[in-house]
Amino acid sequence: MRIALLEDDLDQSDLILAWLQAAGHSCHSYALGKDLIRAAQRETFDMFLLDWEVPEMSGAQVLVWIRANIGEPVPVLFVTARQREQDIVHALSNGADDYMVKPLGKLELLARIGALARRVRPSHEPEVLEYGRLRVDSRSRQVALDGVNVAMTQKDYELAVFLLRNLGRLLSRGHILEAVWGQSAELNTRTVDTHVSRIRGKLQLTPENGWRLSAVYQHGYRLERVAATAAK
Amino acid sequence: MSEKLVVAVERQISALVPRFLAHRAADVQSLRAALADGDFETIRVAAHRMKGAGGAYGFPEISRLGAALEERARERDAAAISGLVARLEDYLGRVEVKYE
Repeated sequence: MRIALLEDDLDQSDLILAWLQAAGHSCHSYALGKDLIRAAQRETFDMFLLDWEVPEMSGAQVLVWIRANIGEPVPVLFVTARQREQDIVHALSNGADDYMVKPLGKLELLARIGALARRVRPSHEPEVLEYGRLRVDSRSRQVALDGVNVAMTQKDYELAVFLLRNLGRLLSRGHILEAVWGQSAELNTRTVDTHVSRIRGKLQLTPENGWRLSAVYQHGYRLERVAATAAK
Repeated sequence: MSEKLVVAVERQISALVPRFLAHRAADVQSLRAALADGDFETIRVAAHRMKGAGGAYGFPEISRLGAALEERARERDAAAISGLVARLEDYLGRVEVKYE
């Protein structure tokens, strides 16, 4: 998962980063609320981890911004040394999905992140998934269109699966790049455009086939099903 | 000579631990400076961080001292803070990390 972390203490942010990366997540750390918000305006994340006491804009204020400005239900986990009941109630009442009191334990943090992720997306998806005329077989890593396997590179396959698993979600180019090519990939985001264009053609992800794979200006892509009546 | 305290810490974070302990040693100096200035808010903020980070790194005593310091800073209790800072300094001087 791609996680945004608000934490102003370098010792703690580096520790959380090390834990999350070792567990296979990609994590972006911000010391100030305004920096996290700036990133969230141009990038997409699967989850937010917010500390409460950070300089200038507090984690609680960032939470309010997230719920007011990010349309989709992205999980928010508060991680803070504040342990008064009224603080916990305040965070949960204002849209946090879970709350952890510091000092954090690695295993508990990872378990809570996993639990929150499962609320949004099931962790055990079947090996074969059908999306209309498309059939994705994760065992053979093949996508079939009308029963015929489509010749694809591994990256094209991974990109197609990532978009299909996130149907309806706006995904930034950076998010797609990290999910498909990895966080350390030093690739131009135009790589994403090239591959998106290729799978759009190969999998016929067009309105007349019941799909819309749209580029969102200066942001990224969204794959959606479109109603048959809307298709030409 | 005070007894050494051996603390077992996860090897996965071995690259981060020396810096974490160096920051706590620096805290001892900055807490004393803030106490001399009567700057209890600086003490409270530093203590709050210690409370949050200590146990996560495998040093629950640092979290305990941080929690106590934060509380005493709220109460502006200089004598208690001075004693807690001395305990932190003593702990840092005795702790020996064992990665496993």
